[in-house]
Amino acid sequence: MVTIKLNGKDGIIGENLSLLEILKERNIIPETVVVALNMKVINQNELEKTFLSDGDSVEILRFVAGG
Amino acid sequence: MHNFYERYKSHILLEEIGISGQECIKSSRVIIVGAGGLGCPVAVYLASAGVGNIGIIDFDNVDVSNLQRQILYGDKDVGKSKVEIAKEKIERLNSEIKVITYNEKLTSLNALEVLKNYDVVVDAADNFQTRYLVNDACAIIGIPDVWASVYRFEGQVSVFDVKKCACYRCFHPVSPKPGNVPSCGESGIVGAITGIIGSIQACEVIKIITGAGNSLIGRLLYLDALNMVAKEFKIAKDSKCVLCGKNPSIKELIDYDEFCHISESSKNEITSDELNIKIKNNKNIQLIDIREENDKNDLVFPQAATISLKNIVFLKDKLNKNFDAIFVCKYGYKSIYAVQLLKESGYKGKMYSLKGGTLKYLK
Repeated sequence: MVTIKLNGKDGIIGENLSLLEILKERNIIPETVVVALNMKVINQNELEKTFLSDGDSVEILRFVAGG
Repeated sequence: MHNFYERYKSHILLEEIGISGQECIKSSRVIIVGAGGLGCPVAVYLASAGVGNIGIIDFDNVDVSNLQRQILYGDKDVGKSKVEIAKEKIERLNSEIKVITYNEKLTSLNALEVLKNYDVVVDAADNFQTRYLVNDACAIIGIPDVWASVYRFEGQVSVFDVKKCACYRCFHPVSPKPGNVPSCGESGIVGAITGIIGSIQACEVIKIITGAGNSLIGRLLYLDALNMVAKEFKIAKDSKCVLCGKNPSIKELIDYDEFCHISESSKNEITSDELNIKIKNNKNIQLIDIREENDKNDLVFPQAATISLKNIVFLKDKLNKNFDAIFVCKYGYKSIYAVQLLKESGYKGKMYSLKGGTLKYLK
């Protein structure tokens, strides 16, 4: 098990999960969000290749165009 | 005309601005794309700050639902051109500045021609097509794009400048499909959020012009005003970026409707007049109203069936394939997506989306 912070809250996830899998588990369409890992925005094309480890902090923000 | 030093004393006192900085502000040229929730406070602060040349581009008229947050407009402005009212109002704030208005939509055809006359662009638009367009045009011209977007109680701000760091495509290369992401009109927005975030944009513009401090280049500022927490995230330049990476494939402006999944072929739009003819002729049509509950203050089509977009595929087995299905929403965007979704689900009947939505139909 891997302990992470997701949007500021403690959470436990499975081993070797990528950011893309984290989104899919939550039924989130990847292009509708901005994902940051340890305060860095992760490019959409890298979500699949970015794996989480203990202590990581993940933020999922909505990607919106409202003005 | 007021004395320059008196008028801008509070700027001039700041060592980061001073007289030379205020002279820079006076001679600068800034264009605001979108005169809505964000564009209004940006225009107010730039005008008051003495930005010598302000461009405003927007093709919309003031709607009564804009008044809750679009602070340049009042009761008497409903129905009038946004850019005209905006110009009138900010010229009253500062008669020493020049305001140029463009009462048109920013498109691939006019973007370079319009934006190249400016030093900084403020992206205060309300849709993804325009945002990718502004980004690409700024990168091609080589000027910074002061970007922000708002949603409910949240705001996001950054500055994209390919000369120094990332662009909007490095930040988010893939546009979401329409309908998957709500607009302000659909999801709601606290008026003050547009004020806060628009003011941050204006502040970034002043910093860029005067060279003061550290701009938001390479950083995303995120404000969650419901809990009043601000966070900052790094945005890195993407070496594989199709626009500003090592081997760019985008070298000129593209079709942004297509890029944002609004393809002409799948639009299947019907105009208000065409719809009225169909209704008048008692043509066999089935009207489906997919507006959100809070947008249904007018019962535009009492005969219409109602369903929310998220349940739209259930219509596949309920619609009569022999009758035209006409989808209506507030702005005419979600209805395009409804048609696409049902098409993808395998529905074979004829479908149309009401162009411009109920908002246009009622005019």
